[in-house]
Parts: sequence; structure tokens; C-alpha cells
Amino acid sequence: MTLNRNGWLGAVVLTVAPLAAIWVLSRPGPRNDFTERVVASEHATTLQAGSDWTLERLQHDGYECIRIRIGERATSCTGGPFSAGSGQSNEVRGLAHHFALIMFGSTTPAAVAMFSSRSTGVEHAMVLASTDVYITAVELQPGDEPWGYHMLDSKGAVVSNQSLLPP
Amino acid sequence: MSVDLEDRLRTMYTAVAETTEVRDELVPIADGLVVAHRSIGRRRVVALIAVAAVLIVGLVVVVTHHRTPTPAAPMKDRPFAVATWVPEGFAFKDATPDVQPNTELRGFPGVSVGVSFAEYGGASSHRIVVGTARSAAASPTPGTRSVTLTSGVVAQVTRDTEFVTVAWVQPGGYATSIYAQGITDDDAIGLANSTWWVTPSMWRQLTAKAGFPQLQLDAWHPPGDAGSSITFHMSGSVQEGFRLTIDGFGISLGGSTPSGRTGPVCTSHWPGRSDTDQRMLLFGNGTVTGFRVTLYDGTTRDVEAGMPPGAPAVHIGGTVIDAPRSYLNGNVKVECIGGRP
Repeated sequence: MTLNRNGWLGAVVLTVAPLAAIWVLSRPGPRNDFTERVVASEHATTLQAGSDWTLERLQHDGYECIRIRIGERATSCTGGPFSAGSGQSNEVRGLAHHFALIMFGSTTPAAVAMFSSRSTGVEHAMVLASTDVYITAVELQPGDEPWGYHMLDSKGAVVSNQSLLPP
Repeated sequence: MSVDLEDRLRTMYTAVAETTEVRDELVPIADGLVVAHRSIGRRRVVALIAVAAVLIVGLVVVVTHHRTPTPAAPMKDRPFAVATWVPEGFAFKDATPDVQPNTELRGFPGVSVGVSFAEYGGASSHRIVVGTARSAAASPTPGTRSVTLTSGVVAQVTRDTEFVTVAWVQPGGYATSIYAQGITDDDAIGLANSTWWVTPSMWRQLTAKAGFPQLQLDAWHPPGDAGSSITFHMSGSVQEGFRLTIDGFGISLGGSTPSGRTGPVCTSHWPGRSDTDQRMLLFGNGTVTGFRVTLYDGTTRDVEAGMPPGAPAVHIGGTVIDAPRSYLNGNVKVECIGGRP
């Protein structure tokens, strides 16, 4: 059996088309970290508020944790032991929002200087989340790519810096 | 799969069936000889592919182990200065290449063409500005005192109540100054000693994304008989600082490293992890021209010192000692050749 030009073309299309269809159908949807439904009976303390979102502290299964809430949806509540000087940062996405959530172990006030594709060292005050943990949620605009941040002490000295670029 | 896609695939299959020609061809039945011939042919092809694969793998191994770094740009092609170390509490904030005319380089009155700045921020809005100008002919204003940097260049230090300026011209390079607030004179001189000059393209790489990307630049073999087996890089980020590194070992140009001490001080280091790795690195400040190594049996060996690309504060050499390292520890003496006190 030999194929003419149209035959070969058809065979190639027949091979590629199903693969392309499988690739399109298997692609993940947009990331959504707001997977939890807010329960009405929960008692949450608002630490920081944005236009339509809040950063909250609440008691969950006997321990204190932090979440970002938009309407009736929230991120899973996270917490953890922090020692002085230790930090942690997460990117939170979903419901048309994009945050850099930054936590820092300190007993004195701290701030964050954020560097991104649309900001150069813009400072964000941190709020006290518990006795020795400061926290802030930096809301990023659509298309804004976070590059990293400086952790600042109360005098503005750089305590540490952290890259947010993918490794 | 959607119905639409199914329909389209079915139409396509039908089209293929209609456009496919089927020819009845006579295929001779292969006799034993032909089969054997084909089999030998296949074996030859497989053998050739295997040999080619081995050759390619070998070539890749040879190239990756013995490739020569692209020759580094000379100082005259490095008009931008980067601090590889900054005092505690400071970090990189911004970079401004080729600022507007009429912005003078601190310490160089009247020098305002091709001026570039890298700015570092610290407590109480204090800042450090590392500046360069594409003007090799300039000379700094006499300061309140002068100091000899570890590269051997004399710099002018000017201190007032709030600011300190360290200004100098790097031979073969450009006018450079450190202008800082909220740091000691020693820190300002440490900054000057830590300076690494880079090309315009390296500067763009370094300062992209606010200096957060981790980079490895300026691959370099030091002189000496161990040179080709030793490759240094300048590794780090503008945010975290840079170190001259080899196999996980690194030295910083500023601070209390050999290059940061006054006077010629020469030291050695074994970069390998195994006892049989006999490569020895030799470090001195930028005024040292070579190293004299006295071995355990009293024999001496002179090793040339070379400047890593764009980093005149330190000079490095490399040699191979013909004895296990465990035997050599404490039995090898390193002295500087040349070097200013």
C-alpha cells in the first residue's frame, strides 16, 4: 500500500489531532487556592482587610492559624512554629486575586519591601498575628510578577531578603 | 471527546480512505540467503549506531571536562561596578545605568558623562551608592585621607558628619566611588575592596528582576600547573552578594578574607573533598604577583598569580602537589611573591 500526498497529510493530521485534543483536555484549569467554605459559626479575627478580602486569624482544631477569605470562600488555614528571624512566604491565587502571603518570626514590628515587575521596594507594614509572628498579605495586580522581598526591622534595616522567583 | 470532534475525525478518516491508493505489488518471497543478508545488514546498522552513540557520549564528556571558558572581558570593557558585599542591614534597591547628564560622580567633580549607579538601602533610609563613570582620565578629589585598597590602588576617603566617600580610578578601568551614609569608614573601604566590575550585558543580567536571580558568571582558570582543572565562577545574586566559588568553596572579596587584610597575606586551600585530590589553591591580595610554595621536603615551587575577571582585589594561583593531602597538611608553607606592605 502506498499513500499519495493527501494521504500522508491526512495520516499526519489523524495522528496529531487526537494527541492535541488529549493535551488540551488534560491541561489544568486556573489555580484556585480558595478551596474552603467559610462556616458561619467560626469566630475569626480580621488582621488585614483589602477591597473585597480579609486576612484572618482563627482557632482551628485547637491551634491558631491564618487564612485569606474572599466572600464565603477561604484558603486552607495554615500556621506553624516560628522562631525569631525565621520567615515563610507563599503565593496565593484564585477568584481573580493574587497575593504574596509573608510571615516572619519577630517580637518587634517588622515590614516588607516588595520587589515585583510593577514595584520597586514598596513597603508594606506587617501586622501582629500572634505573640511572636508578624504577617502581611501583599495583593498583586493582574500581570504583576513578584521577584522577591526584603524583611525590614522597625528601623528599616534589612534583616533578610528572599527571592520569590521560581528556582 | 466531544461529538463535534468525533464528527470531524470521522470526516477526516473518510477523506483519507478516499484519497489512498492501494497497489497490488509482487513481493518476492525471501529465500534464506536474502534473510541472512538482511539480518547482517541490520546488525551492521545497530553496531554503527552503538559506535556513534559511544563516540557522541565520549565527545560530550571530553568537552564538558576540558572546555576552556570563553575569554573574560578585560577591565576596559567593564564600565559597571557591583558591590559583592554590603554591611549588615543593607541590601540592593535599584540600579541606574547612564543617569542624566549633569549628575556628577561623587568624588570626581566635573565627571558627569556615562555615570551609572547601584543603590543599596538600609536602616533610617540610609543608603550606599556605588557609582562609576566611563572616564578613565579623571582623578579623584584629594580626600581627608588616602588608603591603599587591596588591589594596590590608592583611594581618596572623604568623611563628613554624615557621609563617607571613597573614590579611585581602577588602572585599565574606570572612575569609581562609594558614597554612603550610616556606615563606618572601614565598611566603606570594605565595600571598595569588594567591588567587581562587569560588562554592560552582565550588568543587565545582574540587575534584572531587582537583582534576585541567582547567577554564575565569569568562568575563569587561574594560572599555574593546576589551572585547567580549576574553574572559578563569581556566584550569587546582587541581593545576597557574590563570592568567588569553586566546587562549593567560596571566598568573598570584602570583609576579613585574605584579600580584605592589609599587606600581602597569602594562604592556601585544597578545593577537593578526597585525600587524593592534590590540587592546591593559592590566594593573595591584588598586589601579589606570585606564590612561593615550600614543600615538606624543603623544595620550593613558584606559582604565578592571576586576577579573576573584573575582581582586582584578589590574586589566585593553582598547583598540584604530588603527595596525599593528609600528609601535606601543616607541611606546606606559602609565601607571597611581590605585594605591597
